[in-house]
Amino acid sequence: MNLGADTTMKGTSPSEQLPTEILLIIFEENSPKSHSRPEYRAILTLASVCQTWRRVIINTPSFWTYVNLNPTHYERNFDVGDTIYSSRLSIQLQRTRTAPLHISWYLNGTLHPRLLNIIYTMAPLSRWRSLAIYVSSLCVTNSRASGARAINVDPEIPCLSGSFENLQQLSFYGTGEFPSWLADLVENTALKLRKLQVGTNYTGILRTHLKEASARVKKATKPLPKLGHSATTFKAHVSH
Amino acid sequence: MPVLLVTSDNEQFRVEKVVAQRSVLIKNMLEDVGESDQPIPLPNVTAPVLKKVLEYCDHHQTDPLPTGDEPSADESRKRTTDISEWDQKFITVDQEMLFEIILAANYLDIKPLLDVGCKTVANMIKGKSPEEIRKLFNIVNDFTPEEEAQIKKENEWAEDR
Repeated sequence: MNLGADTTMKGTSPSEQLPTEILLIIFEENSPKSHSRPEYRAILTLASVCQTWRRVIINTPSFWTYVNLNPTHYERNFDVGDTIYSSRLSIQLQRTRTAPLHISWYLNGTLHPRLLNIIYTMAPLSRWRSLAIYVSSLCVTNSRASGARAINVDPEIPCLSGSFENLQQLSFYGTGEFPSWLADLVENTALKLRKLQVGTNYTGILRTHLKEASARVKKATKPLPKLGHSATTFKAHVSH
Repeated sequence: MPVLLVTSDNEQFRVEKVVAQRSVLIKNMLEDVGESDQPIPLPNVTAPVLKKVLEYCDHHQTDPLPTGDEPSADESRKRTTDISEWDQKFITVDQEMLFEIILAANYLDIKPLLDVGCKTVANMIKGKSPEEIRKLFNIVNDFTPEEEAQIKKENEWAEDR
């Protein structure tokens, strides 16, 4: 297979003749389907090839919807990372336009001062389709003076308001207390929840604070009656 | 009953209806026209490309036709990189032909072939830097130095841990 550039080609290259809908199918194969950084890098790479590819990728909200709310190690150094983190996050959220979001949030140390403002203005809770929260008391700080240091501090847990009306998946892992605002929001507003996972420390709250949400998930994921059941059985099931 | 297809370079191909109907475009045309000996013109496809496309249609003539439903997120994840052995051999062509096949599959509306072509291109891209991709597909870097600096800055965070 000749994978090299064809130097005998005249005019524009064949790849440049591909219409947008075909480019999208190709890019979709390499688009992020999780919060993994390499998957994100792959789409950034494609958006760095040429103007046409960049335009197509930047204007496709679904390529940007896996949003990692935690700053990177570099961005944790607030001396330099403050604006880098908030502008990076804002740019990504702008590109998602109104698409449903998949949020991953590692809570340790203090929250970035602009984060809540960014969430409320650009990523309201009503757009969150899935949320994975990890809470840890281990915090790595990074500053010019002392370099990278791991310390134990109580994580700052934000108190968010809004409605989880489109939330379908929630997972919560880590240490510390399960935030009551989160339990309340999920109980009262996450009516479309279909998947609920908590760490072993929190299984008790499924029976207390998240009782209704757990029941909702069970009901939503209950297998449909098998084909071959009599019509009456099916009818009886649906009417429940 | 065989069907007569005519390419943009005026070559005629006589193929079995069951093979030609892998193309949704041709299938719809045949349904509109009904039983007829009329040749079907394909002004966007050249003979060498149609020959190749028909080879694919012939091999896959008994496959179930796609339903047209959009795959779910899980299914589309599974789709990635999986190309059958026969399809892989079939699509082992030079780059110009690969893009011609993709364009023809799009025009003729043969979704499984379009998928095979696009997946092949996606696999060629995977793991490469922008510069390597440009070289591979002969794409001109048309960013201004300012845009390039901006992109580099934007991409920096993703390199971080």
